[in-house]
Amino acid sequence: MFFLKLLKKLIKAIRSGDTPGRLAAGFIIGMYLGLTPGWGLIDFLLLLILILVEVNISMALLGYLVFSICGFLLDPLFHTLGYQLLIFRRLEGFWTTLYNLPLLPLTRFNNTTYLGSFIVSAILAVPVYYLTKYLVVLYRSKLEAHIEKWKFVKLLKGSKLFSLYNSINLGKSFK
Amino acid sequence: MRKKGFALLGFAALLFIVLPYLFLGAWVENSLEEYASSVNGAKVEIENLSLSLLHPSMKWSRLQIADRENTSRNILETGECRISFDLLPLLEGKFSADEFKVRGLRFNTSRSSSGALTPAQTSASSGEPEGQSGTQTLQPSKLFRKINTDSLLAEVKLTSPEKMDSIKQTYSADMASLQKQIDQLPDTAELDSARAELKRLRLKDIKTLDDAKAALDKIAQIYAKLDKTGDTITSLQNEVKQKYAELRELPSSIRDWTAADYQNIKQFSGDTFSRKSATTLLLGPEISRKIERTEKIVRGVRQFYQKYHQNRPPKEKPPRGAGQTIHFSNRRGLPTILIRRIELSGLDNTNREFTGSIENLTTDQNLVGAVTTFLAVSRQDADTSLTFSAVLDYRDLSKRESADLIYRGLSLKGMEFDGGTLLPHRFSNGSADISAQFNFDGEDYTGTLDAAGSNIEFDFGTLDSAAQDARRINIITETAAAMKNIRLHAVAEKRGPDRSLNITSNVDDLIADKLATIIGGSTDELDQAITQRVQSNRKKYGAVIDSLKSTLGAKASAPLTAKDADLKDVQKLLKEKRAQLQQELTKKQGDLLKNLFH
Repeated sequence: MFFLKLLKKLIKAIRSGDTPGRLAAGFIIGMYLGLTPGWGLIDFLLLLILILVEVNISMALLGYLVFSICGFLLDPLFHTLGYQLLIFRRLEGFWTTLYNLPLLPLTRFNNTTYLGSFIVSAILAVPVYYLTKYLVVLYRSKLEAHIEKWKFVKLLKGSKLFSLYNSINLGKSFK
Repeated sequence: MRKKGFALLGFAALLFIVLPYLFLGAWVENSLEEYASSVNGAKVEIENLSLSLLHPSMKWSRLQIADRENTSRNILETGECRISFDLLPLLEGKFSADEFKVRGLRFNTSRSSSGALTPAQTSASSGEPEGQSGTQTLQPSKLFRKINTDSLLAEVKLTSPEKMDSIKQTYSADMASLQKQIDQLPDTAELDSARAELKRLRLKDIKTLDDAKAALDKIAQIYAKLDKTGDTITSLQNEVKQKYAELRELPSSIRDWTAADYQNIKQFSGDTFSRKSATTLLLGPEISRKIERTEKIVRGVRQFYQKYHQNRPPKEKPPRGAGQTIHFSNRRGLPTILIRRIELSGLDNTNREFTGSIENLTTDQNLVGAVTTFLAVSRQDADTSLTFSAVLDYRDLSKRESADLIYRGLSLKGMEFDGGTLLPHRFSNGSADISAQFNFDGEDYTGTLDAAGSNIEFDFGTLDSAAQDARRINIITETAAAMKNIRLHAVAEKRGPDRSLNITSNVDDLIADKLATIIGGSTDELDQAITQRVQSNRKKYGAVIDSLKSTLGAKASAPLTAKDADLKDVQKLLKEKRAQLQQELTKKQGDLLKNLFH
């Protein structure tokens, strides 16, 4: 039921419930949390932002789910990238400075996989943000009506499970 | 902004403050136990750990570190310990504490349950090869072996049998060569043919000068041929004579060889009970093991320290999601771990109270600006004390460790040791003063050990009388009884790839002298047996020489003499025939001249 509820909220948000910017912001926060392993200082800060600022949590959960799988699959690549960056002679001074700054070591930047996934997340953040925004706008303006006609969607809407879900949620029926 | 979010955070913060009081202690205890056990290779157990974040401190009532070599015992255990630390450095992943009090520290204590982690880990730790010190190991069985001529001859490499074998081989080769040459000499038929040919040369058949000249030429040809054969026979006879002369000389050489062998046997039997390295053989492996253990500890400490100082760590293969954490040098602030002072108190191995301290235990001495020092002192009375001190100096990338141990008045009573089968395994009385110093510098080290034991008595109850014969018991008893005072000086060094361990002790002389005296009683009997054996060998070798002589006579000398006689007979006939022919020729020449003038 949790996933159905999440799906409902997600579709509702994409259709009209939230601004494309908030949806995209939630998605990239989820992406970062999903790609980076463990919990560093930045992860906690992003979690705080997610809780305190009105970005879309459903999109964050979707991003986390999708990119956790990607992160697991790409782990060796992140490890190699992070290792090469951390042992790069010309960057040694930079890393040492960061290492000696207060609180910075808590970001786990000196962990190879974390650094590798951080770099990839940072590179992907801007394009993914704008791409998500574009896709949401595109969905609302052109794709929504088209998708409503898909057999799969009709089947889903006509299914007993869907009816049962709607009956449990009483007045909050799914459109 | 979400109002619900703030409420959620407030609730989380409340939990963060409350939960540590409820669960953090248990969580830290489990985490510490898990990590320390994996490092130790056997169980590390902490009891009743409590953690306070308001006044940042941690304490526990008992800590047990199991010995992975013997999981029924602990390497050490502590009583109540308390450590006060700084909270803020923890946020940076650093641990800093000014004081750590360790009470009730005891070593080598028994455990109520096994300290093994898993059967696999236990087998891995017990599978370590022992005795890889490279030092020679004592085989006391040699010392106690019943000495007899056979056993000595079996161990001593005698030269005379080899020489006799060599002589036999040489002579058989020579004999084969002689035989071949004798076979190539003209046989009896050939000489008979020459004889017949000479007989056919009858004077009455010689009519003319040309006939006489042809007959003389024929004689000259036979003469030349026989001369050549005669020379060969003479040469072979000379060779045989030379061989005979050599064989005549051999008995005196054999006497020299057997005499030399006799000396070797005597010397070996003497060496057997006058070895000058008994202490090295007895204690060398144990001291080497101790040095290896010390090296291993030093390597472990260095590895731990280096982990925080290496610039380019090798790439690892961490499990997915774990990554590899790379540390960089600290330029300011606190090192990753710093405990300024650890106060120790407890009982030492002999259950005497001791106190001690460790200062500046840290991962970065440069940052702290001080070396790490250890000091432990145990004093029972004015005559008995134990002092251990050590310094770890890792400043400026150097790696130097030094340790000093001074033990005064160590009671040896009841102390067990590995004396092999040469000595009993327990002291019943005695005391010792021991002083040891170890210096590691980079990859090299120097270690010295001085020990002086007095009033030493052994517990002969540790001897398994049933398993040993009376002679062995006698040797062990008398040797052990001679060791009242022992002095020992050992120096272990490693310079580059070269390692050395030298041990000098009066024990060497004591053992050698005592064994020589004890076993000396057997030497007369031994002498007699060896003399008989040597004489028997001489006779045996003499018979071999006689056999060689008779073979030489039968196969070479006799045939050559026969051939020579036969040849001489033909030569005599030839001379006679030639003389007759010459007379006939002279006569014919005279007749010819007469006929010419008449």
